Amino acid sequence: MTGKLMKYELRSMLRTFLPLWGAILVVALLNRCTLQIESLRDWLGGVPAILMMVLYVIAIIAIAIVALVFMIQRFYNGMLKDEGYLMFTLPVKTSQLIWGKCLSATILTFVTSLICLVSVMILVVNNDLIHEMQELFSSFNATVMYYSNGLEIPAGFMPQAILLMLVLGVACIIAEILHAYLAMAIGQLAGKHKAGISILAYILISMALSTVTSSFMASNGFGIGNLLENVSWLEDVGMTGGLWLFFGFNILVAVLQIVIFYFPTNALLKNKLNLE
Amino acid sequence: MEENLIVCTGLQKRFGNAAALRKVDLTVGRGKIVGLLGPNGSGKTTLIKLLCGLLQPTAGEIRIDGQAPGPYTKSIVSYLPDRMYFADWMTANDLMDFFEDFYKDFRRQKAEAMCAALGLQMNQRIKTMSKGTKEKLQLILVMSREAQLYLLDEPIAGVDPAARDFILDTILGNYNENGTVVISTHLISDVEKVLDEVIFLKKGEVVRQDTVDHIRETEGKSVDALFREVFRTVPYGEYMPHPREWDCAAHAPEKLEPPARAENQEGGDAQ
Repeated sequence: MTGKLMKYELRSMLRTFLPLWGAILVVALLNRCTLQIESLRDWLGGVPAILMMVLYVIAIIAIAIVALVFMIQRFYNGMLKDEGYLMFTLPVKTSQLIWGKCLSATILTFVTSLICLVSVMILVVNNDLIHEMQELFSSFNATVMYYSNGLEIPAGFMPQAILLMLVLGVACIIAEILHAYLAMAIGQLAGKHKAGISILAYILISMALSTVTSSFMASNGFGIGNLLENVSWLEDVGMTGGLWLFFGFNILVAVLQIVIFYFPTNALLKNKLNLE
Repeated sequence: MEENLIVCTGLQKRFGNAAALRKVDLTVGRGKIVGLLGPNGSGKTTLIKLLCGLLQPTAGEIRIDGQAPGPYTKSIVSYLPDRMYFADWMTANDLMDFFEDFYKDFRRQKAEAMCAALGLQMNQRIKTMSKGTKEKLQLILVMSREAQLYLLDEPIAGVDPAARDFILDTILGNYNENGTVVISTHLISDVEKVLDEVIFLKKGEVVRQDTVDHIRETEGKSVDALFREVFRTVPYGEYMPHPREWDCAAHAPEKLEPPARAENQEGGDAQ
């Protein structure tokens, strides 16, 4: 059932985002032309080329804002306003409704980030860069690399690092989306000013969490600064061990946040739903 | 299959300090058309929302086909809310896909035939439809399910008489005859002829549940007349208006309690 919910969620998202993604790529391509082709770059004193670059920057900022607004609006309008009368009477569990929305929004954010990355590649890619990338990728399988401080980077380190970074990235996206959902689930409890109270709830949750996290970090010497200053632990566990420790810890924190945000959201929507 | 479709015991719902439903005990069987009647604010919508699982009771219990509201009961309940619940971007076709995906008892051919009879374009966006068309489409979707329980919240409020006929004909012509239809309304004269049973809700309590035939036999009057009697409120500054002047007793200010003789609840088995 979650899959079916996602199908309709993604369908509604793609209607808006396919044109936006296309526009970003086209603008990036046009910029590539104005950057590469001299006659175009200097055409009319270079003004069109500059405008084109401004347009690209605006487009990137705009798609980020639209994605954020869309994520919030799909939950707020789609669950807590009139559409909620349809969604909450479907023969599915509340948890499936939440995950249907959340995973769709995660996919949307992930693909949008990917499209932005591709658009940057379109802008800057050239033979040198491709060559460097090839070298970088081939070095992944090299047995050992030495850095000035004597730490050795074993083979397979970089692919693992990229994989862990992706996992952490996705976990953080999910956590942030559920953070917003929880705030809205709290906001809908109010009779009036639901949106305002949602925003307030979001801020209060952030403040509470950052207070807890920072006091925990400080008291346990887990701060990033501490970790980097004190590299001797890296010698004990090795670079790969350190990588897994660092990312493992951060992924665990993100998963903890997911748990903290998800269960109250589910309970509130299940037991305290207050549709307008 | 349970013998009784709906069983509510000691059902209460409070919103803060205000009680929307106070201790409702109710049993509704199968294969009936039931009118849930009461003035605005009597708790009709709250009861329906509890039955379809949009609200959780403060106290007491609901069983639909023997189960508490959840995914199973939602799969056998077809609910028509008192508002539009569509996503604007969808077309009629998308909605059919949606209903077909989520409700096993949805009869798509029937729904499409009804849309065709209305001249409704399947690929038209909901956004571009008129309010009346949207309401009809929503009713068609709800009535194209072979549900065991239809919960219709004010289906005929705020529409013109022609549309009212269309709505009632659609309901009567399409419901699953082994199922039960619950219609909440305060426009009794329009639905009276189709009802088998009525439930009178007053200030969150069931003041009478009876069959229409029994009411006519024992009271010697129509349900509409009985409703006006049960819910009559004396307006401030006047004394006993003629009932006909009170086309909608429901909207009378409730500043004064009606005189005791207006509270005709004889034989009212508030079960």
